[in-house]
Amino acid sequence: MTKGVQNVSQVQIKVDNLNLWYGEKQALKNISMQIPKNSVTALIGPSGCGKSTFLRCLNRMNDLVKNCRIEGKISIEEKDIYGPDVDVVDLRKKVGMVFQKPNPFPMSIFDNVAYGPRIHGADRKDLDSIVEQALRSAAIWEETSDRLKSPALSLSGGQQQRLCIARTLAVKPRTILFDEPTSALDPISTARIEDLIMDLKKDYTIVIVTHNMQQAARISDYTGFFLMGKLIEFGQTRQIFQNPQEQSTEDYITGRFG
Amino acid sequence: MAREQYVKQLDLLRESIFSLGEIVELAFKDSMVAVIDLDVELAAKTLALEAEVNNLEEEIESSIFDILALQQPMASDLRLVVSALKITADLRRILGLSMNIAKIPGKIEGKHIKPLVDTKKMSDIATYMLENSLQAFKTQDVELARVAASRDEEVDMLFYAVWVELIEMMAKDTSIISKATYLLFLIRYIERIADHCCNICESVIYLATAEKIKLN
Amino acid sequence: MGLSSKTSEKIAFSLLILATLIVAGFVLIILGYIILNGYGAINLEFITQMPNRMMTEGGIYPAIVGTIYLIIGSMSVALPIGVMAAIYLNEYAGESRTTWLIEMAINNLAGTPSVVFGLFGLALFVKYFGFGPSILSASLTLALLILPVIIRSTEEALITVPKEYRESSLALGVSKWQTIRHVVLPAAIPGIITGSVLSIGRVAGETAPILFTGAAYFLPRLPDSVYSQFMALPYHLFVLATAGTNIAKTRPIQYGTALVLLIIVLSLNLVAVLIRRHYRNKLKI
Repeated sequence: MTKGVQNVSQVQIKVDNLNLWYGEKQALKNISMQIPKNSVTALIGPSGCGKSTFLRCLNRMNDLVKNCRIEGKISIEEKDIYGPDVDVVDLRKKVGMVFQKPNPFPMSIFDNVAYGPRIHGADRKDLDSIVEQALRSAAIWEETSDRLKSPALSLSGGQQQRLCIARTLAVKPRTILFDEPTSALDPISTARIEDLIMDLKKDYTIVIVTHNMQQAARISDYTGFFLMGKLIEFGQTRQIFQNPQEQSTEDYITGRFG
Repeated sequence: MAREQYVKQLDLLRESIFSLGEIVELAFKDSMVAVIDLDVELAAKTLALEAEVNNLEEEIESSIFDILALQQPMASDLRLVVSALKITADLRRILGLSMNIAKIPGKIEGKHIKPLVDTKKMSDIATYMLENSLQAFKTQDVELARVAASRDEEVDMLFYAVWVELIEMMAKDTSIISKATYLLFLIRYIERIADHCCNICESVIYLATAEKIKLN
Repeated sequence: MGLSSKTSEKIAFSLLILATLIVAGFVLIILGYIILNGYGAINLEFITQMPNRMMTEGGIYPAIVGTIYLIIGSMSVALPIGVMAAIYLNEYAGESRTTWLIEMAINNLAGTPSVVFGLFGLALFVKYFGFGPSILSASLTLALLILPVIIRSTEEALITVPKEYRESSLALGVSKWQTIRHVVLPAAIPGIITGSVLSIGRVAGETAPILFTGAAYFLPRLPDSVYSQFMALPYHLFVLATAGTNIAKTRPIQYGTALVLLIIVLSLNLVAVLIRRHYRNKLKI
């Protein structure tokens, strides 16, 4: 059964009966959901509930994990991403990912952003404008425009994370996955990233895993609550946080969990 | 500026309270004109405002719940949201009382039993209190809130004066009891409206200074 | 009754200091001894002339050149193979029984005495492939000797490249090989260089492997091809010190040779340190 969010105008990601095992251990159980286009969808739940594992199914990062077995179907833009004709490398161009720890490459700010486009064969003369546009979209152009050649690691943590977002944007994905993108950042940097994410949904579909419930409440349009590998509840964020339908959701959101 | 959307949400909440205030103010003023002139048409027009207020009130409440549930407002933001909730309730009561006032013209046949001089004075003061408590909310002007609330005493004094006068008139001439009772209700409504204005002033002072005080 | 924690702290600290002083002391003594005894022998002639009069006079020029040839020859074989093998083992092979066996073999190879490498080189390169005693045979033998060191240190360097770099590159739709080439290898270069430096020291200093594969006892001319025999500093030193016609007379030449060898190794180390620092600066802040 697909939970919550029905009658969505446009579905970007459609998940049907997804099951995932790490060896013998089942980490995801019968997940079905439809993630609407141009929205922010937050996935919340206690540690080990499977939310990050689920996120990593969406760009097939779990392929890198040994003994990981997947059943079920995930379609992004109506294309089965686990289908036989799918090029994983190509999929990851369309489904970008930003990680928990800001992790710019040990190169200059410019090269970090230009890294993806360069490898994907962007014209050398277009690189300047691609980089500028990505940095602008990630709201970090003002801070970096005069020092594009300096090492990315000289930036502050929050700036590094926005640079990583710019690096992802430069590849021009249509969906962006965020895996706890602010858990290593201070509150001010966090607020800036949150603003940025809300801003980005104009052009991208965003799925964010966060262990910070308040963050999910603040920035998302839809929220999914995971518990022990199951999607317990999925629906509009305001509904989940004001009137959840499941007792375990209520317990988690009100901090009475456990 | 961080948290742009949230800041916008708070601004929007403030704006909605302003518009609610304007409609309620209009409803009270028109209901008073209607009752003094016994203008049934204006009274009907005034009564029609209730639906609009109901919609706006619902919007404000749901946006307050959204902000509380989703944005975790703190400090002055928290006071704004709490004050907004209380002010909305007060405005809603003032509107309710104005609706009661606007129903009176339809029930009184012929003329009033006396010229409504002191009642008019009461309503002028209450109008002043309402206008200025809302103005104080807009500008977070604590002094203005105190001044506006201080006029409540005059309203109370006029209320007792008119009350006694009406009782005396009824004792002399029992045929006017029906009409006089409506006027008793009327002054009671106005007196209550002034009290709600005091509550709004209290909320404004709490919003601006975090002090909880009683003004009436 | 045990010692108070303060006392045991003091004792431990003193022992550590003592150990450090002993090590540093020996290094200084060896260096000082060689420098004091050797610097008198060194002059322009010594490093540019052929040895003559049964090595009791003249310079060590061919031995210097031979050692440098060995370094270049063995590194140009061992470095690419070692780095590629390490990349395969660390990035592609995964954890299987075969990988485990290969890793074990590499570890054992690293522990094999160098004289065994020498004999192996003699059998394989000199005899079986027919390269004869030559720079080629000796370089290949030395390459085998340092291969495990290079593989090990490259693997170590690759492991220390944060997994986040790989993940975020892959997440950008970059293939695995491109990720290794553009992100992982550049970040691992300082570590790889460190490993190579250790190997260069060994190549320059080993005697046993070249003994059987091409080093000449006395050869007062420069090698003219990779198939030529050659002289090398460590073997030359060994010969002077043990088999020379007049050991006492050649003593200053012995110390001079040792000093030159030391200078070559140390300056190569210095170059490596500089290269590493250059990359570090480029990569980090």
